[in-house]
Amino acid sequence: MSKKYIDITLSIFFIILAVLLYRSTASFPKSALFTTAVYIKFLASMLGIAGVIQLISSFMSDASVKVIFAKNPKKFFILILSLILYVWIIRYLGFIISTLIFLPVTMRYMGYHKFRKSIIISAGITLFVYVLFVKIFEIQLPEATILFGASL
Amino acid sequence: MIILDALHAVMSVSVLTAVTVGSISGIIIGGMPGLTATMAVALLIPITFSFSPLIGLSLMGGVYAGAMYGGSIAAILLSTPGTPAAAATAIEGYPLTKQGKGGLALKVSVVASFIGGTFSVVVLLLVSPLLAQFALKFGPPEYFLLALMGLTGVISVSTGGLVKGIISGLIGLIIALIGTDAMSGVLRYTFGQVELYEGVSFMPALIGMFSIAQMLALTSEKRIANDDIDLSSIKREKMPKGMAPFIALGTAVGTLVGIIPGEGATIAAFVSYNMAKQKSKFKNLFGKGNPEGIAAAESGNNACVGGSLVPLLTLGIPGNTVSAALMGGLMIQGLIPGPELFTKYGQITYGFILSLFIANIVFLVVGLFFAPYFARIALIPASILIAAISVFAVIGSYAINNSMFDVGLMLTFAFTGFFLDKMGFSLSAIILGMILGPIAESGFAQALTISGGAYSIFFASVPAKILWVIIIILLVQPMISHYRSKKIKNTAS
Repeated sequence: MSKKYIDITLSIFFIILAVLLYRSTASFPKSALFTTAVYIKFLASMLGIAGVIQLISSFMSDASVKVIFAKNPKKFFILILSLILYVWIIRYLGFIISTLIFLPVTMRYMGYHKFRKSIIISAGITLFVYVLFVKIFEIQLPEATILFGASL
Repeated sequence: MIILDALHAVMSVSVLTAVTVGSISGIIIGGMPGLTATMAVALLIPITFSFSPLIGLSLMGGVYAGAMYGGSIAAILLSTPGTPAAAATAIEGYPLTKQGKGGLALKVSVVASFIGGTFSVVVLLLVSPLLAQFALKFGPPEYFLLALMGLTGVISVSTGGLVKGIISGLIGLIIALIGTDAMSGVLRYTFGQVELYEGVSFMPALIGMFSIAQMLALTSEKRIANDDIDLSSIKREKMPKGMAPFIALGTAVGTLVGIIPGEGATIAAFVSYNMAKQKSKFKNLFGKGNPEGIAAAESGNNACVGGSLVPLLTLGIPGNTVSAALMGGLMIQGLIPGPELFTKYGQITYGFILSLFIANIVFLVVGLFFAPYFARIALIPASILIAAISVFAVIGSYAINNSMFDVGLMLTFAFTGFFLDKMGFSLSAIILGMILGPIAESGFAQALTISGGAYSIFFASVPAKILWVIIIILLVQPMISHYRSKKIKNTAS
C-alpha cells in the first residue's frame, strides 16, 4: 500500500475530527464554557493545525514508498480473527473451554505443528492461569454461561 | 524514621519473595525478544491489585529492573536484543561470544547493570523527597505545564517525525476527554455507553498497544533468535580491568537521561555507548567485541530505571511507557503520585525504592551464576509465545474491572495501535496523552478559573517560566537535528 495515500486519508480524518471536536463545545453548559471548553478548543485547534501540516507534507511525499503491514498476511489475519473469535466465545464458553480451543488452534496456524506438544502446552498454560488468578489471587475469570449456566 | 520503618517492611518474607520472583520473571521476559518491560508490568497489574501496595509495587519494580538487565543476555549470546535497550550491547557482546568470550561479556554486563541500577536508585532516594517538597509549590498552571512537558518529551523522540508525534499526543489527550467533565459534571463523548462514564481506562489501552500489537508484529517471525552458539560452552570469567570509567560514564548518563521525560533506556544505552566509543583508547575494537561498550551501554540502560521513577513518584509524570505502566499499578492501589507519596504513604514509597536495591542484588546473583541458562528462553518458538501472550493480554484486561467491555477496548487499541505504529505514529505518546490528559485538563481549567480567564497565569510564576523553557527546548531540539541531518544528506549527495 502506498504510504502517501494512507497518510493523506489519515490527515483528512484528523482535520474532520478537529472540526467536530471544536464544534462540540458549543453545546457545553455555561459552567464549562470558559474552562474545559477552552481546553477542548485548544486541543482541536492544535489537531487541526497538525493535520493540515501533515496533509501538506503527505502531498509532497514520494508516492512510491510502500507500507508493509505484515510480512506474512495469512498468519497476521488469522491471529486477528482468532483473537476476535476468542473474545466472542469466552462470553459463552467461559475461560477454560475457550482458552483450550484458542491456544492449540492459534499455535497451529502460527506455525507450531507438533500436535501432542501443543495440547500439553495449552493445558499447562490454561491450568497455570486458572490457578494463578482464581485459586491464588481469587480474581474472577469469565464463566461459561451457555453450557451449564455455572462457572467453568 | 520513615525509612527505617520502610526497611523493616521490605525485610519481610512476602516482600523479599515478591522482589525475587519479580526480578527473575523480569530477566525471563527481558530475555525474550518481542516481550518488553512495559508489557510485563502491564500484564502483572491485574494480579498485583489483590496484593498489599508494597508487595505489588515491589513485584513490579523487580520486573522492571530484571527486564532491563535480562535484555542483555540474549543480546550477548544470541545477537538478539531481548529489549530495544540492549541493542547497543549486542554490537559488542555477540562478537565476544563468537570469540569464545561470552562469559566475559556476561560478567561485564551484569556488573555494569548492577552498578548503574544501584546508583540510580540512590539518586531516586535522595532527589525524590526534595523534588516532591518543591512540587508542593506547584499550582494548577504548573501542573498543566508539567503534563505538557511530559508529553513533549515523548513527542520529541518519536521516530515518525515531530508532526506525527504531536498528533499522537493529541490523540491520547482527546481520548482522555471521554467521560464526565470534572468542572460541570456533564457527560462528554460517551455515546450512551455506561462503561465510558468514568472515562477510557488506560490499562486495556496499554495492554492492547504494548502486548497484542507486538504479537501481531511477531507473526512475521518463525524463530526469534539465532541459535548457532553452543550455550553449554560458556565459561565463567573474571571481570576485566579498566571498566570503571565506562561504567561511571554510563551510570551518570543513564540516570540523567532517565529523569528527562521521554528519553528512555534505549537512548541512554546508545548515548553512553557512543560516548564510550569517543573516550576509549581502543576505538578500533568497537564493533568487533569491546567490553567497554557493553559496560557503558548496560550501566546506561539500567541507570534509567531509578531515573525514570523520579518524575513519576514526585510529580506524577511518567517519563516512559514502563513508568506509565507502573503508574497504573500505583493508581490501582489508590496511591496518587505526588508529594503525598513521601509523607502520608512514606512507608510504602520508601519501601518500594528500597526494594529496588534488592532487585538489583537479585539480578546480580542470578546473572553471575545462571545467565547462559536464561538465553535458552529466547529460543522459544514465536508461535507458542504469540498464543500464550494473547491469552494473558485478554485475561489481564478482563481481570482489572471484570469487564468484557475492557477486553473489547483492549483489542480496539491493539489493532488501531498496530496500524498507527506502522504509519509512524507514536504509541508511547498516545498512552502518555491518555494518562496526562486529566492532569492537563484539570490544571488548565482550574488555572483559568483562578485567573478569571487570563492566560497570563500560565507564564506568571518562576517554575512556569522554567517549564516553558524546557518545553521549547524539547520541541526545538528535534527540529534542529532534522535540519542538520537534511543538510548532511544534501552535502553528501
